Amino acid sequence: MASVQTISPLFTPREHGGRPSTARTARLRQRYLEAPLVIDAEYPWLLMLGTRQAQGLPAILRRAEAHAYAIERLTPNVREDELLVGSKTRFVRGAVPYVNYATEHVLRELGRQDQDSAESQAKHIDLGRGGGIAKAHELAQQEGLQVFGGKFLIAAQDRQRLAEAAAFFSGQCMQDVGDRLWKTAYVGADYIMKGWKVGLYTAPHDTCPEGRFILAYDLALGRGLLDLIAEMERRIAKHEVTVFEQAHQVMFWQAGIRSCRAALRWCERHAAEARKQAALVTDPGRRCELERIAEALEHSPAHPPRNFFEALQAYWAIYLLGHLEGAHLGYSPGRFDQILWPYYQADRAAGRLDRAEALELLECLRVKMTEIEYIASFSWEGLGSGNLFQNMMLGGVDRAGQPAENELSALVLDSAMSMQTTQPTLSIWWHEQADERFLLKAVDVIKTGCGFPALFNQRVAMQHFLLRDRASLEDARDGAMGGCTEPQIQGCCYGVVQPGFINHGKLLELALHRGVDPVTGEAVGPPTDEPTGVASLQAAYLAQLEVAVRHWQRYWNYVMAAHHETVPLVFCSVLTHDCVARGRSLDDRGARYNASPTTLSSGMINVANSLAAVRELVDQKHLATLSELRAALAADWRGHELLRRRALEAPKFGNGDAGVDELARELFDAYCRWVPGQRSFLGEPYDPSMLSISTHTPFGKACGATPDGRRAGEPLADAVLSPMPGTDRNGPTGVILSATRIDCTPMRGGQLNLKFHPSALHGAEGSRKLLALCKTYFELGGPHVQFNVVDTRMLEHAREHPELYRDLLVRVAGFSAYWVELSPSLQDQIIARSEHGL
Amino acid sequence: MVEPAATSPEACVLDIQHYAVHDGPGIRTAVFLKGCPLRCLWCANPESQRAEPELRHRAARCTGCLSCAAACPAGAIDRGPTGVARIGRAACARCRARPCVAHCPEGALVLAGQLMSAAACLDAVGRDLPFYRASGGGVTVSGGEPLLWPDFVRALLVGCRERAIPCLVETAGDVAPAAWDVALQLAELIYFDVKAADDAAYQRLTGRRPDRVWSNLARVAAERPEALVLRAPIVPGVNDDEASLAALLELAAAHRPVAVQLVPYHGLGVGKYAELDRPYPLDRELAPPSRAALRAIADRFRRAGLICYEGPR
Repeated sequence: MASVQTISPLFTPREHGGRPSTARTARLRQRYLEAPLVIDAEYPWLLMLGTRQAQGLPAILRRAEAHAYAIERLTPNVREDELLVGSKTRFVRGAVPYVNYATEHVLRELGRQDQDSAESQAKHIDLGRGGGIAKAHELAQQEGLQVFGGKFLIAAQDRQRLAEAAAFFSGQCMQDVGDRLWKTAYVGADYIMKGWKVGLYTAPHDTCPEGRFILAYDLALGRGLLDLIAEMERRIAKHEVTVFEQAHQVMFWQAGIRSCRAALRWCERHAAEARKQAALVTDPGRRCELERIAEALEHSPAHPPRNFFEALQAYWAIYLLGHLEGAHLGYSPGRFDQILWPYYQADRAAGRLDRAEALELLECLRVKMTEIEYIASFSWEGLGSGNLFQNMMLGGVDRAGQPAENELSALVLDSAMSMQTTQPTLSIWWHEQADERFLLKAVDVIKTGCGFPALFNQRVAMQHFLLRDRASLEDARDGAMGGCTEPQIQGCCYGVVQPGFINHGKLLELALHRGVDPVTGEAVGPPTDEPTGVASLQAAYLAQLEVAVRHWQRYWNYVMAAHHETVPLVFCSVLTHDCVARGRSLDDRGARYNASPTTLSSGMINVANSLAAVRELVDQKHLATLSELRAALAADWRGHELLRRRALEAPKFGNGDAGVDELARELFDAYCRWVPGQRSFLGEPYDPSMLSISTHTPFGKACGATPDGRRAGEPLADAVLSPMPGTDRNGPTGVILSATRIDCTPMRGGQLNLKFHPSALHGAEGSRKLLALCKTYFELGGPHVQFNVVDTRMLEHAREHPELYRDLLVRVAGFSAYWVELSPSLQDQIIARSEHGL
Repeated sequence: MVEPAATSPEACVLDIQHYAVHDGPGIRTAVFLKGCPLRCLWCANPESQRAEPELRHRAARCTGCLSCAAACPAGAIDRGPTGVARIGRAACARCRARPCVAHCPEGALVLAGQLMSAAACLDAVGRDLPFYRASGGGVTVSGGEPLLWPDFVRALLVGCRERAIPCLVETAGDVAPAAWDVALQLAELIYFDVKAADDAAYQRLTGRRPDRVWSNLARVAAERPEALVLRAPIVPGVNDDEASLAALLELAAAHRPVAVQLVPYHGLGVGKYAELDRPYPLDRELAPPSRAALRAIADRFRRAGLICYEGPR
């Protein structure tokens, strides 16, 4: 950043920065930053060949066989300089289109001539343009290369193979099987379709339904895959079938064995590639490294690792193999500092490993995790800004309730500071006995402005696990993040699907207009009574909400029934506690805990603010009737500027104002009462959750003006507990007092974004004050907080001069991203967030 | 006990700032009271100088719709040469209701300062109690010159004491002895701003003779030495010459404060003068003192055996 500082002395520099600790990791990072985003068709192409071979097998065996066929043949990637090997694709920044899940978006992209035409919701989405996206567009000018999905590069051969695979899976992928089911059978199908049309729901998300869980590394590393295979073989041998469920168990074990053997074959092929390169290199140092890689992969994860390096390479291989199996979002690395600690500690104690060496390895791991890209439907790209939501958890108490921060936890923070890469995002469990030195280091990382680590309240998450998962105390202590802000017990849970969102802003519009969407004129919801004041508006909103929640959950149950028939996860099931013992996959309730499927939504704060404004303007001050207010909203406040001023001045959530905070609390409580009223496809009550990722932008674009003074098309409030940007006038303490009035225990997650000017956190004193702020927030029951530490003037400068800010990281919402790869509307939104502390 | 709201003393409160992290230890809430006897040339908060509410006009937001002029009972507003509203300050000062503020659809007119009872203020600052507890913070009463409102400050500080909220008073010391007693008796810390150590310079830079300042300073040094923190604005080219610094050092050495805090000049308040239709008293906006310059000054205090901070903390 030195160059930027000399160009513009206008803004306060970030207090901490970092650089890779070795020349090697500096090269790896640079290679990443210079790489374009690329589509790799190798996996889908091989999957198609494998599926052809497996025709006629039962679903679970067909799935295992097809996937096994593919990963046994994937090109083994051992790249220059790498200390940890294995990649999802052949490219530095590669994405795999999972056409076995959905083909529609791929076929549409393949058929598209004009990049600007887009699917129904595309008018609400815009994509980033800089960084690796710009690189893809630049390279696409060359012969044989094209742009795909607005931001990826694709080679001619990949394009042709992808087309063939997409054509093959068309009609039999999860999405098509699911669509045939719910569109013909579900009475609420019409509501869902209209909901998409008006922006009540996020677009279909069949392209990336998996994830938000953590594998059981105690199985993968603690026992090794060969031991797991042996167990499944024993179980088959001991098992005699009477009822058909028992035959299904046998099939699951057979599928599990096939998956594990293929995973071992994948490791062998990488070991062989490393050996081959070792024989060719002249540099003895590099030869030694390659041999170490080969030796590690030849031993582990087949067997338990013998040292830290083997454990790390095996961890990465298992993580990646799980990643390869499904179209994941939010598939997460878990409590890394706990999982790897025994190996690290033993090596350190024996003098086999020094800190610098370990740091370099952790830096390599950061590059590996950041390299993974995904491709989803265009709409989803806009929502997630391309982020995979890999969330690594540090600290907290261990299974026995003892503080578990260790030297490795701190080293992971160091690697994040030095590498400044987007992934994995880091999170820290806050607990009463947390080590202050560790927390101060975490604040230093926060001060780099990268947006992480986020802090989570372990007590609130544990209470949720105990309440919803009915988890044992030990398991409840073993939580991590499954995705951006959803707590998840590691190693023993089904994922946190469903990934789609409900738009509270749109529900408010439906409530104002008797179920009719004022933007499109479409009659969507039930014809609730025309509201005349705050009470009737709130009642109508809650009635609309209940219907929207019900349909969204039911619809997803149909989709997941198709998932069960087409793409059940096998390898990931084997590495989830109790699946092998029960002889059931994740889709068949094999996991120990199955209560994590959630119902997601965003924009509740705008509803609370709108109700507060109606109460003040209509009910209390009689400045307008509700129908006059509706007319003002229809005109987007034009000609009603003074009424808008009064609406903006009405109490707003985020200032510790008891009146509006109480309204918000009522809304959240109603949501948390209704969501579990229906059961998910796994038979457990749906779990209420909220988060925003980037939905607040497209959701806001879909909505007209709202009574809180917001203009048509403006983004909604981000996160879950954050105030609407610009409406918090009482500093972060006011924000926290409002946020903590809402009890997030019944929700899986809860999210608060705070933005600070660097001067507010300066020095050790600033760090301590920030920690005191967090401590108070958590003692008051807050679930999560994350920080953007940045001078707004610097972001404005970055918007004008992206070329100077290629590696500027900012927090979006539950994830961090490179500034230059964010869409312009999201950049504006981040600039607009209130900045505390100048 | 604090008096009930109806009889609770009032003050003109400019702002209540939460998470004030540059105004004393821990997380604090800073209460800024309006009115100040001094007119420091570099003042960054000109809206704090007069004791009565006044109108700030944020011209960048003004669309020139003149809704304010239509609402103004004093006929004080018309269209200025740039097309936006222009406020006749003399006429405006005679109006207390200021309906113009509510009639501006753009929020371009802001009333700086409102009368507030100590009881209401106590409610507002008491809200953040858990943050004070966790951080060792509390309330900072600042201004303007807060001790121009001794009854209000006394009621607020007594109320805070009842809630065990530590309070700090930030003052320039140019107040009557009875008002000074309030700070001496009730403040945990007194941040004493010394604008200049030399009488002639003091008068030139602030417009006031410092007689009361020195006697109040002497009292606090004698009666509450553990509470005294000296704050010294460092304004390049105005009060950072060798003679001024030497005088300041001598003053500090004589009074033995707990710490000396340098407050580097900044130009962030320049825009506010325009909002009040007043000229900036310095010829131009100055560059803030460099870190090296601050360090050099601080080192002189340190060599004299004093604890010195190079900026607000």
